[in-house]
Amino acid sequence: MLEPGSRLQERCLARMETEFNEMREFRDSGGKTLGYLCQGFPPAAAAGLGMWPVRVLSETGIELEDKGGLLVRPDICPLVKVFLGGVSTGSGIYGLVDVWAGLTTCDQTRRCFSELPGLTGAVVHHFQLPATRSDASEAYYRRMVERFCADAAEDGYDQAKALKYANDRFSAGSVLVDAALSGAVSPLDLHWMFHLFHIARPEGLDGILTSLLEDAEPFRPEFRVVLAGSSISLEDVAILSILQSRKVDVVPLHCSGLQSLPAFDLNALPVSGEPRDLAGMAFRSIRCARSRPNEEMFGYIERGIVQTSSAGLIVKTMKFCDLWFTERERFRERMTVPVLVIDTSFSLGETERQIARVEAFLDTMVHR
Amino acid sequence: MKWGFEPDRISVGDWESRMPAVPVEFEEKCRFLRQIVPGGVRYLFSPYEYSCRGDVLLRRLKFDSSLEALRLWAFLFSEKDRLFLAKENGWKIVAAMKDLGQVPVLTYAFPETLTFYADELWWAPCFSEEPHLLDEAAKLGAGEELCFVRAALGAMVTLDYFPKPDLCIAGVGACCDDFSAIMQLIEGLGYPVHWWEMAARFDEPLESSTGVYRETGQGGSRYLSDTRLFLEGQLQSVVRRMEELVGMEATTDMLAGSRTLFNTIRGQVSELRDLVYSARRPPLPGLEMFLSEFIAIHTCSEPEESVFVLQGLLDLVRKRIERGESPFGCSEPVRVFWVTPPTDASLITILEDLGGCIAGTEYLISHAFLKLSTDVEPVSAVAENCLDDCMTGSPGFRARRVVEGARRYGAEGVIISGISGASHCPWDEMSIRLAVERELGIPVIAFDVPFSPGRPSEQVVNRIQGLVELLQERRGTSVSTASPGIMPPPEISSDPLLYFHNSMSTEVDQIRTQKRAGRGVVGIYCEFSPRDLILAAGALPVCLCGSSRRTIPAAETVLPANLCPLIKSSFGYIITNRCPFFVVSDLVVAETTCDGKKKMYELITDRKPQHILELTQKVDEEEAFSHWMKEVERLKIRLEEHFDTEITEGKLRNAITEMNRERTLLRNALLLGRNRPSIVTGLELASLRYRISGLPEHLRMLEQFVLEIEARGRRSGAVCSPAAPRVLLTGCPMAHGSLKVIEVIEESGGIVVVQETCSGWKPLDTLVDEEGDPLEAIARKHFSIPCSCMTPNSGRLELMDRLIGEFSVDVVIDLVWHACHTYSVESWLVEKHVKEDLDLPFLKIETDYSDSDRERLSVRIQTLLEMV
Repeated sequence: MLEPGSRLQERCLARMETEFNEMREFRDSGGKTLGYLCQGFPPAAAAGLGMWPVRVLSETGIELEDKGGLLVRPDICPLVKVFLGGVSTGSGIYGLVDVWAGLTTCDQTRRCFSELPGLTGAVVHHFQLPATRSDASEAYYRRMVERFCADAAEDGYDQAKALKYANDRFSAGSVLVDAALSGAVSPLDLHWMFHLFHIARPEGLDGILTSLLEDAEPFRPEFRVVLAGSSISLEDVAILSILQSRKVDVVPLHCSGLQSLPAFDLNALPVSGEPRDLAGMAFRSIRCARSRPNEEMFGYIERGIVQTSSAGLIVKTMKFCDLWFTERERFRERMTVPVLVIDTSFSLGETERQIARVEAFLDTMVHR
Repeated sequence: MKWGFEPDRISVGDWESRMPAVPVEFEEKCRFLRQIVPGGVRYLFSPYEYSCRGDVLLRRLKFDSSLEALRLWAFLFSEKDRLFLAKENGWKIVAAMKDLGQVPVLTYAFPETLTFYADELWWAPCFSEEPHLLDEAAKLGAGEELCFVRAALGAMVTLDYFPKPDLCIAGVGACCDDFSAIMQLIEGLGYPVHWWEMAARFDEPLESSTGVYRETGQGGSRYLSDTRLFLEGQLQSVVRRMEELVGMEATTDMLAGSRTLFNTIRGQVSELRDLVYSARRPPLPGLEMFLSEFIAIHTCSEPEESVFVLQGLLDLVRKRIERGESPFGCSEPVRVFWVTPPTDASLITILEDLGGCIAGTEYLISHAFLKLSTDVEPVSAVAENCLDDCMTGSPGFRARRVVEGARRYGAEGVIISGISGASHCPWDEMSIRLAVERELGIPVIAFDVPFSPGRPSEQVVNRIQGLVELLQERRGTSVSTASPGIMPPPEISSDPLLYFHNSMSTEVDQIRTQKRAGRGVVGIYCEFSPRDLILAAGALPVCLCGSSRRTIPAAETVLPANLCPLIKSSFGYIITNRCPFFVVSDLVVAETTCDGKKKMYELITDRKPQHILELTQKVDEEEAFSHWMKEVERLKIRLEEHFDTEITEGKLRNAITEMNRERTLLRNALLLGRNRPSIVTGLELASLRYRISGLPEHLRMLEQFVLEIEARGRRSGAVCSPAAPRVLLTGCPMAHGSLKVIEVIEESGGIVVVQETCSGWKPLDTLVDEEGDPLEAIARKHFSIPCSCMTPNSGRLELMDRLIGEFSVDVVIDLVWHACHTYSVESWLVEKHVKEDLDLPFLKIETDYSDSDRERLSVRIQTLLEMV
């Protein structure tokens, strides 16, 4: 796991370790954890089943990628290879997950989840997260989440518990929204807080996050950029680091940032713990390049840029993520601010290239 | 029908030489879009012709030698003709995207619509060996990280391969990210897109304890019942969108009718596969099977004709099996199951050359060979078929289908040809390889096929060769020493007669090379368009196609039938997108000579940037010239703006020198006609009419032509009897494809020694003055062309007088294309002059590009020549 670089990050790490320890105890006492990758999954539904939902977006690095590369051809998404490596070796957080919510989103995750049981023996519940944005697609997704809840309900489904989880998560998310929009929290501190949010149980998390912010070192950015694109794992910090060192504030509109928080965009408090309602809310919150059409994604980023007075847009995608990367020309065409679209991997050799490109981008912005 | 050739695998060259033997009644059968053009449009052209029109990969393939295979290829390559023609006639054009064979069942329920698969464009760069579609896609963000399906995006920009679709129906979800990304960019271009969700089947593992599972009736694929209901709703949305587009409600009968038609096609393809892939000596080569299988999904945009094409192949295959015939001769090739369609179709030819054959395929479309259920509503049947689609399931599902297929057809090995950049291929490859090795124990090779224009990837060829050798060893037969059979790219012939005969294919290659190097291309139709000026702008002037009768039926759906064939043919080439030079032209110079052409240009303004060059017609008046001069100046400015260049005086002088050299060389060649007795035929001289000016190879060959003909004269003397009447042919221009009058004259014993036409001496009579103002010199030279559109056109009679003397002419024949009013009216003056002033026999021939009056012309011309 990434070494913390500030007091806030140290406290985040400590809190994560506490969560992991409690997760182990939870499992020892017969509880089940559910791992998921995509924000389109409603974790409150798993909570309603008595599970501990955890979004797994860490331990990315060449070591697990190499392990995953033993199972598949090398020319697939690095994140998926890390995931395969993690699940097959039971490393770290991957070893703490009992079942996986396998959302078929992109080609890579769809095929990864369909092969995962055969390759690693993992237990996977499959869902299709439709790419189309129609009512029929939303209804289909709702039915899938309902079916999952029916399938996995060993001790029934507790709606109140699910609703409480959703509301607690909403409260914790609101702290992150405020922090992200304030411009006063450094990009790396914010990044750690989001990752804590992905794995921690939400009860009381708003207070923990608020208290963490008290430890945040003062950050006085010279300007801001929006960072959009696919999920950014805990360790994948090359771009964030260079932005922070250049005193650039980051508005994290990517899949593991504010996009994970329905509240930011929809401003909607969960009112029901029913699986179908939770699924519908998750479906409507998606602002992914994969959506068809993906106008909502463009609108979301455009609004984000305007609302935060950002001076530029960086779209960070993983290598082989065609769905984000092919939009690069349209981003450049549509946005009113300078745009950098950069594809990245976890290879150390890549870091220098990423830094060089971001620095060049920042230089051009400064000289505009 | 008599067709005297044994089953064989033959090249484009072989086909070309066999084309004259194709029975007329067979040609007559091959017609498309009978609903639009009475009797349909003929489409049976040779693969060589299509290779000249741009699909140069055809020159590296081997084809089955049957008429039925010829029809199959021609049907496939005429698809774009159908699409453009239908669009021109107001039919709705629908682009199906990503589903594989389901959407057309719904769209063809509606009348006056054609559906094509944009996905199929992924082969286009490979068939054309030309990356311009990929380059266009890259400009929009779709680069090499995506598979070749990105060519579909390029094609949506260039509209080279299909007209602008009225609707795109895009299947997304559980399919392919590459194409999903492309389709989104297509929508970004402003195309109307109807999105529908392709549902994942979740075939393994089946963990839901509460879901209700069912099996598809045809393919036996397990699915959650929810999934099918969802799919039905999605497909209903497609039907509704079509209803909006066409303005008509779809009845169950309409949908059921379409289902019946597609079931016929699916049944034919399925039977064809079983017959061919089960045979020890396949009765049909792999390439023809490859094409046939894909007809099951795309129908080459005409399901009705597809049925006839496939039935012909089925009859052929049954006959060959009965007679024990095979294009593979007596050998029993090693049997290979092929997975995923190869981007480079020549790999199939190579496998067969090496001693292999295809025994089963899984080209990702195996669900399209399953008939649609007739026990349920048509939309439900289509939804069920979606659930048999490999793409929407797991790699393991597809692997099982490969194992079943390879077992069924007795395959000895498996080739998995991946698609570079395709996101699903790495996953499928792994699963299939493991399953085949585990369950069948036969060798598997897997490779991605790169884009390698002009030749197949050596590495891939070596892999295939290695597999074939291994399979031969395992079978215990001696290892073949066959070469990979890679046909070298056609060489430029050193024989100038052959060179000019085949100059079109050379020119297609040349223009692409030059275009790729960044050079502009300007299309022209008429000798009044100053090539010198275009060359000075750094661009290539190219004379656009307009001399084939084959494009006239398409043109007549828009233009009146009583128009000159040259205009109709030119327009037909444009609307069916078959002129390879128009496609690459950056600008078209549209000169106002005759009324028909002038108005035709108005119909094509939306297809290419156009510059109207107004030709004044009072040739003797200086004021008229002043206006023309201004027009030439305007053209110069337009060229400068369009190509972002400055046409300097130096550039003009260089271009004039270059064009004068070319004109002089052409003149030297045409002057060979002066020899008495003649040492060169009129047809040989007519073959010198190439299309692109400024190509050094043409000039070298012109010099060579003169030397060869002179040497032939010294060696063997005349090409005709010393008494053969010497004909001056005057009137309308001719070119490849419209030379029938020269052919008839020379078949009748005459010899055409000179053409006083724009395709002969007329534009070469004067050179551009290399002294003085170069632009004015260019304008003056072109203004002096004695075309019948000028008035008065005394220059034509003066020129004829000179040519008649110089070429010792015995008889004058005036060729007038039907409805060419200026030449037709002027013919009276010409006749009077020839008969009364020169006392020579004269014949006016009014005809068109068709061959129907050949006999009548023959009688008239023979009678004339006998009088001399």
